[in-house]
Order: sequence, then C-alpha cells, then structure tokens
Amino acid sequence: MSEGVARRLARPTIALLSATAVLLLAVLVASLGGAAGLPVAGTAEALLDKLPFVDLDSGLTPVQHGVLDQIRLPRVVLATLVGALLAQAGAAYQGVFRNPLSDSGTIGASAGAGMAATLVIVFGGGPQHTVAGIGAVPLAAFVGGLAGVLASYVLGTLVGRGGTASLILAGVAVSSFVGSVQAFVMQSSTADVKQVYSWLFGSFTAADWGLVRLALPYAAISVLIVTLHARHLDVLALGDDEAVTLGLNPVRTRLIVLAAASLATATAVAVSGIIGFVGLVVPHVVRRVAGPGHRLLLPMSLLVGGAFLVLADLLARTALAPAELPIGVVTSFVGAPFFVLILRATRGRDS
Amino acid sequence: MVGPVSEVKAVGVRVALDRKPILHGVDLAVAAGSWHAVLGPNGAGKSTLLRAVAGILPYRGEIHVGGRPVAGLPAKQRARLIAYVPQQPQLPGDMTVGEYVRLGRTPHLGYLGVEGKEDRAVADQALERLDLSGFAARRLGAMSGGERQRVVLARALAQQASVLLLDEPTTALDLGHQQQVLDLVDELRATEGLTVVSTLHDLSLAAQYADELTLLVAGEAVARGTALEVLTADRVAEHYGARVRVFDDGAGRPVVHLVRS
Repeated sequence: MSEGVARRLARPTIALLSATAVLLLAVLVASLGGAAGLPVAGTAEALLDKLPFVDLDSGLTPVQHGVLDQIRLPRVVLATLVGALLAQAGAAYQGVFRNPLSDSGTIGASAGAGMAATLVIVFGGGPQHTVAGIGAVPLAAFVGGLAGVLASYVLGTLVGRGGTASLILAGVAVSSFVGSVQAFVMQSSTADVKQVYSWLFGSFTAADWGLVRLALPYAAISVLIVTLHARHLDVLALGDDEAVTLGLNPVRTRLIVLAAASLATATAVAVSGIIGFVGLVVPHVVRRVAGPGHRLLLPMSLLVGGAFLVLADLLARTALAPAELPIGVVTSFVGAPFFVLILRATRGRDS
Repeated sequence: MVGPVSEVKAVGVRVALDRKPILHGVDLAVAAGSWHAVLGPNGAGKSTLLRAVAGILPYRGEIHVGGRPVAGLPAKQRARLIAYVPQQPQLPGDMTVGEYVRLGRTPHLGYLGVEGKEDRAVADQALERLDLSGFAARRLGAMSGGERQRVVLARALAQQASVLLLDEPTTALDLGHQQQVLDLVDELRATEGLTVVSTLHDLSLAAQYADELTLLVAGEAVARGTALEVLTADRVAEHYGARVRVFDDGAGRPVVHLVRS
C-alpha cells in the first residue's frame, strides 16, 4: 500500500519536473540559436544571472548581452507564453466539449481574430497603426477572437440549450460565416494579401518586451482560472447528467472555462497571429504520457506547449536563415508527423 | 459509511421535455432502507421520473428525501443525499478505476476540488466493498461489462448518499452478471442502509429484488404495492399488450412468463 501511495505521489511530480526541465532546455537552446552566435556557457550563465539571488558574471560582451536581452529573450519568452496558452486552452476546449478534435478553432476564436486582423490590415492602416500605444492588429485580433466566441456561445445557447453539440455547431457556423467575409475582403484587396497571410500563419518577428508585458496579465488570469477548474473538467467527462448529480452545474462550468480559454486564445493570437496545431496536438501528446486527469494535464500542457513552440520558432528562424518561415507552417509541418509517431508509440493506451 | 437512511416521497410530479408532458402527476413513496422498482412499458416515463428525483430534470410537484424538499437544496447538498447511476454511464476509457471512483467524492469537496485523506479513504473503502481494490490503477477501457457496473456502483458508494437511483442497472449484462449486480445492490441496501429506487424492465427480476413496485404507464402510476399485488396477468396484458402467465414462486415473488400465441 505504501508503495502504491509513493507511486501515486511520485508520478505527477516526476512528470512535471521532466516537463519543466525540457522547457528550460528548450529556452536555452533557442537563446543560443540564431544569426549572431552566442557562447553556450556564457548564455547559460547570463540566463541564470536573471534569477533572483543568483549573481553570475557571464563574460558576454555588451553586444552579445544586447542580442540576448533585446532580441533573443523577448522572442523566446513570448513563444513560451503563446505555446503555453494555446496548449492549455486546447486542453480546456477538449475537456469542455468532450471532443478530442476541439481547439481554439472550434468555437470561433481563431476565425473571429483572423477576420478582425484582416479588416485592420486591409482598411485600418496596417500593422504600423497603433491605438493608445498598442498595435491595431493585436488589438483587433484580441477583440475579434473574443467576439467570435461570444457570437458562437450566444448562438449555440439560443439554438440549443447550451449543450456541447449545439455549441460546436454554432462555432462551425460562425467560423465559416466569418471566414467567407474574410475571403471576400482579401479577394477585393489583393495588395494586402501577402501581409494578411503572413499574419494568418503566425510569426514572432515583432516580439519585444512590450508585447510580453501586454500579454502577461491576460495570460495569468486565464491560466489561473482554467487551472483551478481541473476537477470540474474531470467531472464533466462523465457527461452532464452525472455532473449534475455530483453537484456540479455543467452549463456554468462550461461558460467559465470557455471564457478563460478564449481569453488565453485571444491573447496568444493578438501577439503572434494564428498558430495552428499546438492547441490540438500538445494536449493529446500530454494525455498519452500523463493520463486524462486534468489536474496533471493542464499544467503539463502549459509546460510542453511552451517548449514545443519555442523549438518550433527556433526552427522557423534558422531553417532558411536569413529568411523566416511562418511559424504556423513549422508547427504543422513538423508537428503532424511527430503527432503520428507519438500516437503510434503509445497506441497500447487505447486498448 | 452512510448517514441516516432516508425515505423518498414524491407527490404529483409533473415533467415536460421540450414542452411535451411526460409525467402527469406521479406519486412515489419509498420507505427508508427499502428497494423500490419502477416498472412500465417503453416510453412510460420511468427514466424521466428517476432523472427528476436525481435533480437532472426540472419538475412540478414535490419531491422529499429524508423529509426535506429536494428542490430547495443547493446542488452539492442534494448530491450528498442522492446518488444516480444512468442506464449507460460514460466511462472515459483512459481514466483509471481509482480516479473514477474518487470523482464520487466531488459533492464533499470545496470549489477547487482538493481531496483530503478522508476522501481517499472513503474511495478506497468503496473499492474494497465492491472487490475492486486490486483494480485501482486499471484503466476503465480495460474493464469488462460486469466489472464496469461494479466500478460505477463503487463511484456511487463513494458519494456516501443515502439514496441510490439506478436506471436499468442490468442492461447489457448476461444472466450471471445481472444476478451478481442485483445481489450486490441488495447487500449494499441491507448493510449500508441505502434506499434504492431502480427502473427495471424485467418484471420477474423486479419481483425478486424489490420490496415494492410502481407500475408507470404513459406518465401515470397505475398500480403500486408488493409484487403480488402489482404483477397480475390481467394488468400486464392490459398495459404491455402482452400475453403472459404469472406464477407464484412460493416465496411471494411472482414470475412473469410470456406465452406463445
């Protein structure tokens, strides 16, 4: 019995520690890679030096420090943040809808953000335009993403009774409607198509500490809310009827978690464009390793999602250097075969 | 491991689904610690009645459990009083038996759902009670039909409710497993002081296990009482449109047989 208890305690801890180690390693590797070469030891020391109570002399030159602090790090941190948000939001959507194919695209968040950003790029003066010091495109994507979810939720609740099937169908309806408007706008303004596309496939080229600071508060709120509802999601997996008889209000739970996950998605999309596949694949991979319980799945998705996107971005900016690949292309191109491999390697879990 | 036994009393319960009335004022009286079977032809509203008592469906009329009106109770309190097992429980295939049974503790936890030592002890006890101690780490997808039914009962037991609602607990089970599950429920009723309300489509099984029966037809209770009182050949013929013969097994529990035309 005591051995069993030890195993129960140890497994989640080991999983979380390993994922944290992978993320830290990814951050280090991504900080090293790029046009300007940085020494491994010095970079590691400079990173450690940033931790509280750690004081190290990295031996980096002022220029190298500048590259690390102002170019590499903001980008790596932003990629970590976005990957973590997208992956956890994906896990939350999949839990809420009890549908393994759900992600931020399911309930209109991506479509809404995409259309709003397209409208601003085409009619609103483009990415250089700012509102109150914030880029117009991120702002529009943020608002558009939330509006897409809101429209889907209201429609799904009006048509159905707030059940998962009607929400998913409403999300499909809103997404294709919004998508058609976006296609029309792009069609009628071919001059901006390239710019729109580069945004639609996501990019961290604009990453700086300002964007990190912009995203951080929303990221913190959404991660906190989603993480606190882990057990609620476990109970929802038994179906609405049993959730009710276990004292849970499934409709209210769905609303809260959907709102938080959508805030995460809107935040991620605002600072990086639309990056597909992370929200869909990372939770699946984590589930294979850590099991379906959300108390482990949600924090693990944060860590693994962050590591995955940091490495994908490293590939995006180094594979065809000095040119950059759109990160959404990398996540899908690398992610899809990787996903199939993971499914194959762990298929025993299905039987 | 259960609190004081509770009686279940329903008066004039009406339920409508999509504005279509399903129950037209059903009464139900179940003595504390007894087994009550709700019978009736397909579409009579048996599951609907159970789901109303469970708090899943809104209803008009009154439902009291342990002398308290259920309608006014907060969801969690109600969940500590009434456990419900649907006809086809959803068992996520890659969840473990232990995780699943511990979800039965949900109504006893705070908003964040942090389990304490006692919760784990109660869940372990429920596993033990249903001979599942060795299965805690087993995944639900790897359990057979009979084992799954035991797992679901363990989850309901971990809830520590005094009323257990079972919707067709023997569906999809072979003869041996039907007996095993029903014997088990009866044992839990006797030893844990559970009040059991179940729907059962098999009239003879209902007669074997239930103390009292309610015959529900088209949303109305047309007969209630002991099996001998309720299950007469004429009544079954009238409401099921079936020709049957009813035998007495000598212990006051009638056996209902179909007769070939």
